[in-house]
Amino acid sequence: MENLLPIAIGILIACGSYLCMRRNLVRVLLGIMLFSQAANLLIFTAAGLSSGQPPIIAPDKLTIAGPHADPLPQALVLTAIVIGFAVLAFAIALVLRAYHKTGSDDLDTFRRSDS
Amino acid sequence: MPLYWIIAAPLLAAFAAPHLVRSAGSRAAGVALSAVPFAIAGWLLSEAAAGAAARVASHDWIPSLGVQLTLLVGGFERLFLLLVSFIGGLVLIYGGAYLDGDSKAPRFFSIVLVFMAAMLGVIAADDMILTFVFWELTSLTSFLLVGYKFQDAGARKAALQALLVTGAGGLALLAGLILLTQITGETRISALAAHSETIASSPLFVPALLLVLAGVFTKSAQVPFHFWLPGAMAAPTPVSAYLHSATMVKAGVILLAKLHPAMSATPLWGFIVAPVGALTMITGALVAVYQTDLKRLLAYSTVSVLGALVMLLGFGDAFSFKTAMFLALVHGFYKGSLFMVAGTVDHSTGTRDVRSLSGLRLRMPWLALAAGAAALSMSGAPPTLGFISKELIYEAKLSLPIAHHLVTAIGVLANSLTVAIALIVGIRPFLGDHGTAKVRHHPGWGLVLPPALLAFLGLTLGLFPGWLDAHLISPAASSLDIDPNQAKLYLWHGFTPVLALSVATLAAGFFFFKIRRKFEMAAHAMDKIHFITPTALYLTGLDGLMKCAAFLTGWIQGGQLRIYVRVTLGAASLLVLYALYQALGEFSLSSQVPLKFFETMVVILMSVSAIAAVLAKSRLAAILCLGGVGYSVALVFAAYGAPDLAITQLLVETLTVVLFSFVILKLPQIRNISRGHTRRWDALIAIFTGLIMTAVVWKAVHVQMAEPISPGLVERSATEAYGRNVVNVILVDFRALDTMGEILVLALGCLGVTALLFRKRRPHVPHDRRGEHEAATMGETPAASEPAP
Repeated sequence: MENLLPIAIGILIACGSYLCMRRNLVRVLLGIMLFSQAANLLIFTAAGLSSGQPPIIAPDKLTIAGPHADPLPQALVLTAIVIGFAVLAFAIALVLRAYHKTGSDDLDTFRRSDS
Repeated sequence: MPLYWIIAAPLLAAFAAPHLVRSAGSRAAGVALSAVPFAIAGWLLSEAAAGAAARVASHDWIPSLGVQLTLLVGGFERLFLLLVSFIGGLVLIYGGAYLDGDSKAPRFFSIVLVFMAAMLGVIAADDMILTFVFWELTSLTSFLLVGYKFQDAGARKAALQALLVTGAGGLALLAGLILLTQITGETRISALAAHSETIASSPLFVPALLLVLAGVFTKSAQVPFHFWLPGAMAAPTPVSAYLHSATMVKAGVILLAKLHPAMSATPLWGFIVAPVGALTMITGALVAVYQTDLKRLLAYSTVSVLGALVMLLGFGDAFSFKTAMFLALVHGFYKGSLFMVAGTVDHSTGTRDVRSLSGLRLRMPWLALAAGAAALSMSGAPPTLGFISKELIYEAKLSLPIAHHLVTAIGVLANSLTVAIALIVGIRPFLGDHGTAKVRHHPGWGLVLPPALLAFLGLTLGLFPGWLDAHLISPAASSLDIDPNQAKLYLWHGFTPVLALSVATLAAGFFFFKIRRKFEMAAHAMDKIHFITPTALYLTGLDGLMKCAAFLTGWIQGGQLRIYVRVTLGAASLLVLYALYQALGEFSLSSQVPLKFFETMVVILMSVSAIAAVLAKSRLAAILCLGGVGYSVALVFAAYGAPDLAITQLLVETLTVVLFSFVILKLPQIRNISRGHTRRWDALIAIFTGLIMTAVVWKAVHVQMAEPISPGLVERSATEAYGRNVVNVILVDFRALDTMGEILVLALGCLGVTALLFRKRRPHVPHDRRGEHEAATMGETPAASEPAP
């Protein structure tokens, strides 16, 4: 699995980069979404996969016995998912606003409406 | 007197100067401030007269780098410190009179005093880094002084040119000094001499020598870097008299002399330094003689003398070295004096054009005397200091082991041109009848006394060469391990070939003076090749640099998002590729988690969905594909022991899809705008980035840089934080501050969305208000119901 997931992450990043380089507003938005998925998965994978139990301590014990998943990257990714969502919501609002303001979905035409 | 005061005192005076000028006027301020350098000069003179031993002061500055505030004042340093402080005092008096009534006078005094401190620092500093700091400070103050008349575009350009040339040289010098430190392990210049064998045999010797020489040659205006010096004549004349004749341009020569014992052990030193000096000497003299502006005449003749100094140091023998010390002293006297004379003439008549100046002795007799005395010294007529120095130079040249005929011939030519220049500048404007330029006002004593004093000293000290030799020149030589008994200073050497050369020089000089108009014709002919001059090359280079910068900025910062993304991804990928290449041998395909059917299918679904999202033509299809990616990621989290992540991801993904579905209907259909060619290139960059990231993750899986901290967190979760879900405990307890920051980000995002969507619309964009409100609510809701970790 450590060999398969990197390939999937590479595909997500490639798709995200390609979409971010488009002139079409909606596609750039899609690219940002793909990018944040890829980043989360990257942190999760790079920290090391584990097929063991989740990092939850049984009610009658004080620590986890046996192999278990690493809780730290999970905490980081959890934060990243939520923040990614906030960023996305903002991006969506921005795109919507920009489209209404300019009437165009072509990013290249936005250069003239900077002011 | 603690040694640091010689630098601190002018700096303190620089702070006091503006106030003094405003309250007492610039004439009085100049006289008052000149007390500082004169006090320093007096102390140095008493030291010299007493034959005091070298003084050292040292203090830690940056101990971790071995940088110390080390000053060393031996015989050599004393000579130049004396020159700089004495002429500095005269320049302050002169400048006060020259700039009387100028609103920028306070600035002038401050900068000149800072410059003085820096220059004294360059001479006295023994630590290499300290030397460099003072060296750069002289460049900076020179920039400010050349650009003194900053309303004038020409002055600004000249200032920038001086700064760029000497600044680039300063960087080269720094690199050279660092190499010297690496070779020897010493940070003090005076300690280098003991390592001259090590330095000469080091493979770093040639680069170190070339870098140091680049710094020296730019500072001391050697060919081909000489062009900035005549440009620097845009500065007010007191500045030219001080910086560009007596002191700053000598900084290169001073450093060259200081490094002489350490680096002149190989023939390479002489092969580079001496020819460059000789070429500069003759070029400066040839170009000077056809100038018509007094200051430019003097500037080019300064280039010529600097060339002679460098050449003498390049010869490397004790005799030449001592001669160079003497020439530097003599030159400071007569050139400082002549520059001030030129300034006074300019001040009184409003012109510096030698063709319109004539008969000035009738209105300014004292100035005429000063000019005449300085010109005598410059032309090397007996019994001036200039005469002695010229005799010495000829003797040094004649005693060269190789090519002494050629060198002497060049020397005679350069010196006779110098005689012609001295006549043009110091004699011609004062003789004859009244010229076309009228004397508008008489110069005050402040504009006459300083040049007269300098010229008078140059004349009378020539009568006492023995005193100078015993107290200044010989200690200077012996403090740099040069045998001072090689050359003795005499006014009368007897009837020798050297005397014959001196007489011939004077005669030839007079001849050149008579035919000086012919040189102007030659100059016009030279104009045809103006495009290969160093000035032209400098301008072309500067222009090219600007164009290159404009092109590069336009290329990588085009103002379009896709270009920024393209450049960033491309550059980052290439850099990572390089790093990966370095670690090529350490890849491993070992796997601890076996491949299982269900998970494999999920990953394949994820990849296919992502590709489909790229290819999708319909908005809804694209969103569904993205949802597919998101849910697959959630399943991966679930499969590998992260139920919290999976739950959050599922929630957020659902919200995203719902939000997007609402909004996207207000946006236009997806379409291809870029051309096919661009799309193919972008695809290539994207695939390259993807491959690089795959490799990075692949590598990262097997890398463990440090001991993981997770076991500790797991251990303390139940016992100390009283929580059993370790991920949650980390979020709300161990890293609670992080989580608070995260909530803040959400709140800000929420505010941003609200601001964007509820902004008051300008009336000219008619628009559906209800739909927007809805979208905003959607944006807020998830933020408010943020998944509690």
